[in-house]
Amino acid sequence: MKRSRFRAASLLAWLPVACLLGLAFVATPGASEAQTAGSLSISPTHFYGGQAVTFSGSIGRSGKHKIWLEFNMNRAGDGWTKIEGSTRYTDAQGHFKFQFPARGMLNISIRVASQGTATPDIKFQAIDQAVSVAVQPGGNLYGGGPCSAGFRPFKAYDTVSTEGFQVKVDATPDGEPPLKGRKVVLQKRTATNGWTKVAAGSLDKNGEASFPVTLSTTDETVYRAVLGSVTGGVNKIGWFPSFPTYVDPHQRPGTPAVALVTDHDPGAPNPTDLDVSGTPGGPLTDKVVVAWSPGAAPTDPLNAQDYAVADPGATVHVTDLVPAQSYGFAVFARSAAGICSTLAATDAEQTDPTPPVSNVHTTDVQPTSVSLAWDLPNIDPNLIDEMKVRRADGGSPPTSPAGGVQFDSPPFSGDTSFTDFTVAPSTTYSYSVFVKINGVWSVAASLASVTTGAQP
Amino acid sequence: MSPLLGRVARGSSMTVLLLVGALLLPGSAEVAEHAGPPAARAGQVVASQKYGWQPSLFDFAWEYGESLTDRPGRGTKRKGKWIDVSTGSGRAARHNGGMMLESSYGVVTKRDVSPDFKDGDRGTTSVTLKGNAQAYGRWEVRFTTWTQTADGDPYDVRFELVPEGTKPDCRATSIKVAQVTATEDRVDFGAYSPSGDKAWTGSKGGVPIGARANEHAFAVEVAKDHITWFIDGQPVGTTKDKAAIPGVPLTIRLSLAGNGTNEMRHTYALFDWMRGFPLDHGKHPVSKTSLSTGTQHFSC
Repeated sequence: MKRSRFRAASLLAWLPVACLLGLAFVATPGASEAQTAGSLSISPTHFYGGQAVTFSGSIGRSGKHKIWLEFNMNRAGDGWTKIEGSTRYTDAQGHFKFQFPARGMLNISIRVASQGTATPDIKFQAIDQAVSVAVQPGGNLYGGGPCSAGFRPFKAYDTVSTEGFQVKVDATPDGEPPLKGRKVVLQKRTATNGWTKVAAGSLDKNGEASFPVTLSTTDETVYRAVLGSVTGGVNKIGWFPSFPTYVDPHQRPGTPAVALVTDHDPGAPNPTDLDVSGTPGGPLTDKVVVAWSPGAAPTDPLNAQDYAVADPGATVHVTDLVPAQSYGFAVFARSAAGICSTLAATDAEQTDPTPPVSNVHTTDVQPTSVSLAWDLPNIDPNLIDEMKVRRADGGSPPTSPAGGVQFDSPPFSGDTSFTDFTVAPSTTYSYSVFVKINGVWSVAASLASVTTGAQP
Repeated sequence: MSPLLGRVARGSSMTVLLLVGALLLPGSAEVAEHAGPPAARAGQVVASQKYGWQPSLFDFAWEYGESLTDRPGRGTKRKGKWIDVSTGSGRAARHNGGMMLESSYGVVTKRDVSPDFKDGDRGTTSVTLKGNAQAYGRWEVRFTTWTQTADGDPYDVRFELVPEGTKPDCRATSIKVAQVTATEDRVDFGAYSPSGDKAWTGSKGGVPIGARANEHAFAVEVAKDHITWFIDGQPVGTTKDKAAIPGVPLTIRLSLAGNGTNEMRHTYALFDWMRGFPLDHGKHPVSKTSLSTGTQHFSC
């Protein structure tokens, strides 16, 4: 008996071990193998990791039940795991509605479980926080034009020291949900690579904030924006920084003193060409930007019809202008860093009109044909876009390229002769020749009267 | 003691041990929750689980919306915050269940960048744990790194232990738990001492690096008489040279180390979790592979 009692005692002593080992094999702590029942919805459906999410639905059976959240990472072999601290209870009807911070992962599944059952799961896509910083300085700096220096958005921006600029913070650069009112701090990097506060504000309804900044230095300055923590209720959204954003303050070059616009070749017609000269360089001038537009001189190269970049003092030969058009020219100084002067030296000049041909004459006159010839104007023939010969009955030649009779086969650009095979014998005609350059026709060069021969 | 009494005693002892163990060790649900995929499925073994180092002193798991300065979500000493430093264009921030060091906003390739502008991927970005240092113990971090451009120099991704309070760019006294680049399937490890500029170095090849899926758990055990380095639960090097053991409170520093203002490849380093453990329980495996000794001077 004594021996048996000890045997029983020893078995009893091992019993908890067996129970614990058995439990270890039959149950996965915190997770459930459950039948799907009830319903689950979440609000909001777009949220950040740590943001309060409301879970509502039903466990699928009445009575007050203990419930908890479970997640599944959805990788091969993953199972359902209980989320710590998520235990709640349903109401008497088996319904639930509670808040819990969103897990901050992509492509995980969440469900509400109770003993033996679980709701359908919901695919959780917590949005990673994001914030970008952009710098918007004054004019003549950005936009891809000649005064855009070398900036790269969100990485490095050029500004002008002593001139203010805006630091624009965007907490929704990729369409993230804005959290209106969220605190945002603008920080500047210190010499020891720490961060110091520059300004503070809050996000607007679009998730944006803007800070006016002025630098009195030409030293490179690095900013970042830090979104504040959101911790009200069950929210646990931590603070979040932007990438460092560089600002390179430069000095702006002074305004060039002189701009002089003249004909390119004073001895010949200049319907498309002008020269811009007298563009000196000051201490900060590395290049000059010559910008032009019809009418008034442009106030910004980006708003000009066109521009050219040249060395200071060089004569800029501007081509492809429109004949008989008044142009305004502005010459900006540009520093080696790509910063342009705010103001420019200006001048205005008008191109010459499209020059007409000359010496229109006949080379052969027959009863049914008239052959004409002429001299081209003293310009590069390649400038001529189009030519027209127009005929009128009688001795009053057409005065415009739309007047008189047109021909199915007009002369080619640069031709110096033309034969009209559509005339009648013993009839008097007159002709005009027109030249078009850059869309502008010349005045008429005419042959006042030619009479065809009699029918033999 | 009679055999029967012995059985009673052993049964009772085992019961007590199991109960105590159940109280001390984290539940399997907890481990699974913050450890990511079980080791066997991910092709990785975690040293702290394999050798029974739990419970952790601290466990940063980045499961919700944690900031760098939030205390660890688990651990017996839930203290500490990460101090981030960027000398260039990089940033440290939470990202999809981890903490990411990324070299710049968006991708800039070297050919896009004029040397005058210096606006691509450059500088060093690091985080250092402040407020939970220990002179001896175990530390384990799981991370991966990959790049998105094919030109430019690759960053070094480094998991180090440094004396708490060390300047961000100082490595004179440090234990290099693991250093990888996204372009080589190799892990470097070692230790440095400013006394005589001594260096102990080792490396392990054939470790897949450079793809998002190539996560590895890197660990180190620092005891008074040895340091052992681990990759995916495997001891890969041990030194018993006491000169290599700093003997001062050490903390984790994680770095995306560039090369001054040189343009680098756009690089990501995603740290799944960071954990620290005391030395007082679990196994102390060592490696038969010793480290090479040499010299290395760090000017700090």
